[in-house]
Amino acid sequence: MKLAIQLNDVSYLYDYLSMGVDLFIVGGEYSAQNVLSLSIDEIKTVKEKCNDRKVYVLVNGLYDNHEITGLEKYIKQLNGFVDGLLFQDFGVLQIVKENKYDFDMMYSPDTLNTNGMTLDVLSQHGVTSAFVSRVIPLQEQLMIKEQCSLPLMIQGHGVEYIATSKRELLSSYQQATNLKFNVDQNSELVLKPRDSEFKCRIYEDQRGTHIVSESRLYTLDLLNTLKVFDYLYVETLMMKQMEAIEVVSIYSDAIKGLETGKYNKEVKEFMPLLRKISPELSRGFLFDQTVYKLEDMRKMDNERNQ
Amino acid sequence: MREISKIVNGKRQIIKKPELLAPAGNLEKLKIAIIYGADAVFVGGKEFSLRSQASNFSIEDIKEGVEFAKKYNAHIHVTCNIILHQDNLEGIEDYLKTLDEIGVTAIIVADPYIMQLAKKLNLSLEVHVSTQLSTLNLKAIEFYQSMGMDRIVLGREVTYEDLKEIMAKTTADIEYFIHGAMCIAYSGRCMLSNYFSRRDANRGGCSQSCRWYYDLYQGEDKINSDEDIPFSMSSKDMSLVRHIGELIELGVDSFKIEGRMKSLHYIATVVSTYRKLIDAYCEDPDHFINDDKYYNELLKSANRALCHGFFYPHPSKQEQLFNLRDEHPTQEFVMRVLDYDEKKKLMCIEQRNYFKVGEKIEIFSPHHDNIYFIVKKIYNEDMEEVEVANHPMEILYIPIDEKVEMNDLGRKVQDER
Repeated sequence: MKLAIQLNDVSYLYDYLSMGVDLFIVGGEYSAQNVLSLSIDEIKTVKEKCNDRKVYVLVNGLYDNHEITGLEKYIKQLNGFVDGLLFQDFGVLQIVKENKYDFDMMYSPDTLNTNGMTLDVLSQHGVTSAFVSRVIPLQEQLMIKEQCSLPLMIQGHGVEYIATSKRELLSSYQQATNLKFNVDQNSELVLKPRDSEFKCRIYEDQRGTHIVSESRLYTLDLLNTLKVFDYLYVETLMMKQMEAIEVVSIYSDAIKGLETGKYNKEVKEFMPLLRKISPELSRGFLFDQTVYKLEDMRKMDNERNQ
Repeated sequence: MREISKIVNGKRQIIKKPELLAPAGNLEKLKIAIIYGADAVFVGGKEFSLRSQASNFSIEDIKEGVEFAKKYNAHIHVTCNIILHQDNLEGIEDYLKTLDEIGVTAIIVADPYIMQLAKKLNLSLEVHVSTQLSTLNLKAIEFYQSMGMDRIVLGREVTYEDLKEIMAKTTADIEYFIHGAMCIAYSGRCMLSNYFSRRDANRGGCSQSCRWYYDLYQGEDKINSDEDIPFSMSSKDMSLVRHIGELIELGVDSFKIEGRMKSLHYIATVVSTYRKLIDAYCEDPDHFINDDKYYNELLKSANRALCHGFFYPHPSKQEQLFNLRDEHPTQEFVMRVLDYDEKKKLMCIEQRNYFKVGEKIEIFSPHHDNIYFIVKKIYNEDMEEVEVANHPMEILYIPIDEKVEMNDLGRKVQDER
């Protein structure tokens, strides 16, 4: 299992390289939920510094038709030096296929990769790797790995994607109420539903409004099970620089421990450290199920009301 | 290039009339949608469909719906638009074969596994790409065409300008939403329900968390006070009633109305309004005046305020429902006409909601203009006079001078329009 991260500060690249990070995911002009927005030249520099390590670019928006011409030029510029693209719009895949570009095309739709058969179908249409959905239990993630022939990435740590709207929901609310607050990614805005205890982060950028979890998913103590996957991803979105560095360092050591046979012993020391660094940890949906059938939803509502 | 219109006897007429596609949550609504002018109706099956809270159709129901639709030269589309999980795969092949055998025109699909399976099985039915995949651009359309898909249902985020370019360049069959509720996030990419209530939105369990009230915090400090309007992501419903002419001129293949969970009254009103509007425009596009009558008719069934969605310009606070004051009152649906005796000038109706002698009723129909009358008398099945109609589904008789027709519907007039 290789360690992948979203690069959140280029000045710490050598630190991450020395920790043994195998794959860097970087944000650019067409990215969504990205920490950085690097220019083509900056991405080139990152790749040069990474040497044999892989660099993927987030081309993971859903693109309006008027964006396509610019997007085609952008992807053309990335071709030849970037190793892969994370995408969710099949328009991106179509552009790459038409031009016979050489990228690892990692299908990363946040919510849709929930079974292995579908991924096998997509592998016949140009998808070469995939990011498994976070909203399914670990057991199902493992079944997908068993069934699917594609290299698979799973999220190991960090905030979880919840939703993206093309609308400027926070700005509209400001206009409706005259309340003043920052809406950007660094504003640390927390959204709390009145009917639920779950809290999340919300921010706006040029692609609209984004909502992610407040708590960080963690899997540090589950790596014996997760090691069947090809990539373990650490999401650095919403992390301060030091938190990101320390979290990545711990996961990197833990993965090395898997190789040297020291993991089972070391993880007991790593877990308290992780709890100290990260504000709030969560298991996400790893050991939980969502319901969707009417009878199950009624049962769940009754249980909640009692 | 799509040929949209031609000159007939010196007058331009639309020759590419779009399909009007309506929703239905049960057989009664399906039939009403077709009677009121839908060219096609989309329904959900018991399996593999979103909107698990809609009273979804059994195979027998779908079969009856297909047979009914055929009589009107209409079509039935079945949603198979869940995002499959590992435990949802069983039975899908037999289900698709059965839908094909009973004459369903199309399935609406979000999962590429089902897309490929339907094509591999060599079925007669068409495979339509669901709006759950949020298709917004020509390149994505080309991708689905390369998979052999027969129609693409575009995401609601597609603007008029983008749609114009798409329609000018694509050869694909395109379906576009013209009316109904709007997801606040990109469809298929919203996990609010999953996180807030453990209900899977992509398998039909959406708890509509976007319409809840929220508080905003900056760190530990609450931004909105109790006196402020609470934060909400709730959108007004979309209605492109004022833009139907523009959409017809672009050559959009199918106009979709959202709302499988909506009432019979809603479906009849909305379908009937768009049917009459489309027909009137196509008949004489260059002299058509889109006055307020169509919009006002829609308001009678609206349960949320209406907006233009992403059509143009980009949605702002005007398109959001930040508090309930924007909600629009619904006219109350009170009767369905079963028969009319022309000699006695007496209509036989099925009661749907409370009404009484002295109240003003508006009868609307797929075939004639709306009729307003005051209820002077009500008789029960034994022809005994009663003052109030307060038993749902009771058969009653009401005198009315103007001719009404079977399947006309009546609503209580709450204010003069």
